[in-house]
Amino acid sequence: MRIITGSFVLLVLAFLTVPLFSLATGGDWLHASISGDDLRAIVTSLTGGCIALCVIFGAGMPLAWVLAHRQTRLSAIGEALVLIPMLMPTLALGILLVAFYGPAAPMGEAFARIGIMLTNSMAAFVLAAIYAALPTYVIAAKAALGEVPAAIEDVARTLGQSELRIFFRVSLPMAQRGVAAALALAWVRAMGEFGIVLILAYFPQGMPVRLWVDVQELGVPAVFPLLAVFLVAALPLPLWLGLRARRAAL
Amino acid sequence: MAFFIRYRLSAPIQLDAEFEIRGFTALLGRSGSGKTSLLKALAGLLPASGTPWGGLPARARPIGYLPQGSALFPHLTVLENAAFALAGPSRLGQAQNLLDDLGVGHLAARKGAKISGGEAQRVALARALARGPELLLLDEPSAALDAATRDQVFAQLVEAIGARNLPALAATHDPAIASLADWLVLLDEGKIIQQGTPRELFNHPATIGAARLVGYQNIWEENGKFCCIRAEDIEVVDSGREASICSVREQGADLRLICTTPEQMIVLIPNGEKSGFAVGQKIQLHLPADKIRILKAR
Repeated sequence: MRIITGSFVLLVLAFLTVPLFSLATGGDWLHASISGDDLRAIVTSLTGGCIALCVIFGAGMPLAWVLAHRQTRLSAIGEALVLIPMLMPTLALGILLVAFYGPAAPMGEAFARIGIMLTNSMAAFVLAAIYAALPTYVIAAKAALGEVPAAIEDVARTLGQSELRIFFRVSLPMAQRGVAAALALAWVRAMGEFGIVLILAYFPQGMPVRLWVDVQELGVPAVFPLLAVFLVAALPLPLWLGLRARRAAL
Repeated sequence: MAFFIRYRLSAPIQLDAEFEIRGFTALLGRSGSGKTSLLKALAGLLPASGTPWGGLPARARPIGYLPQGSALFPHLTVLENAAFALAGPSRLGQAQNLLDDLGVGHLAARKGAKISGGEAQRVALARALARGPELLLLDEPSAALDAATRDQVFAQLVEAIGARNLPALAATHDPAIASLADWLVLLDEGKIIQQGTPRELFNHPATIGAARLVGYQNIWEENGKFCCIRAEDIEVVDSGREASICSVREQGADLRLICTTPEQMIVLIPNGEKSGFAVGQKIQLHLPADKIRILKAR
């Protein structure tokens, strides 16, 4: 029985991971190179991703805190509203965003008047990344903050601390592993977002769009160097956090 | 220093409480009777109206709050826990002095999550005392203690608080813990039903609810009056009130009988032998008159 179970587990793991090794074996590494456009895509993705992550942390943390601490009908509605963009197909979300933030829409027009174009610009790229990753971050950070025992926060209140100080001295340090995992998830979503970016911010091209363009123009083996950079940028943070959380649990 | 408390809550439980706090006061009530809610309301953690401190936010109230299980900050050391409410360059020194006074100074470098229940309680006390509170609130202070050392550790806690001449209100469902207090307040069905010294209340409960709270297992109606007696005060004799045994069970070194007279009576026989009793057997019970309490009200 143990042999059958072990074989089955190995089979599923192999199914999941063996294709990933084609990164080392399947590419035309001798003739492949990173072009200037590829480099610009890397810079766009990393810069836009970092800006988006800062906005996501700043805007998502208070929302996650409120959702974790208020058990009211209004907070349930709030959580449902967060889930809608998360569960929506990204291409559909991209179309809705361009209809809202595009130059012909009132919101896009208002931003354009103050010099901020919300389509095909760095601002649009950041906006797309925020829409892709903010809901994931809020839901994961809310779960992490919800794990902090209410009694501990109550004690801090009776020790003369303001809500802001309690958050930074108690809630955030106690939830730091979960919040870090939420940030890692948000990073992966922001880095890998394709559907929204394709519609809202085709230019400047980030790594996913550039990869798609390269695949169309040069074929699969030629895009492996950029693919490697893409994976290196997207994967180490969540992998490291995942292993760290597992070690802490053991 | 004594406090007169008058608080009214409507959620999560409807409660209207008026009572005094004198020295170490125990608030005795059944589980779910609203003891924790009342403590939280006093601490400003639940919306309520009343005096003192009504309307003040939790952080502005001069109270020290020790929730069930002490709730130390697990990411901080014991010393950082004790210094949590303090500010200024001497905060760690002050916190260390408090820990030393309570006999847990040697734990200063340990993490809050890695000490025993009794130690955690002392650290939580040091953390609460650091703010110089006027009143301490303790929620089920014996709950996180080992059964073997519970009474001793709790008595030390009461002594440590008493040495500071600081009034305290401890919520508990355990009559044995409540009996160690200076003043006892009984909470039942959303209101305070009796208060006094533990000796007064244990000897003279006023109502059925009070009698049950202070550990009277046998309550019955006789000639229009409600009476009660403790299980250990009933004697099995050759001639007395006839009873039929419904259940025989060993309770530690003692024997516990449930009988009908026809009222149900629980009898605790010290060092009783199970072999001498059987279900269905008729026995005679003696209820000493000086041990029977007449309750003033239902």
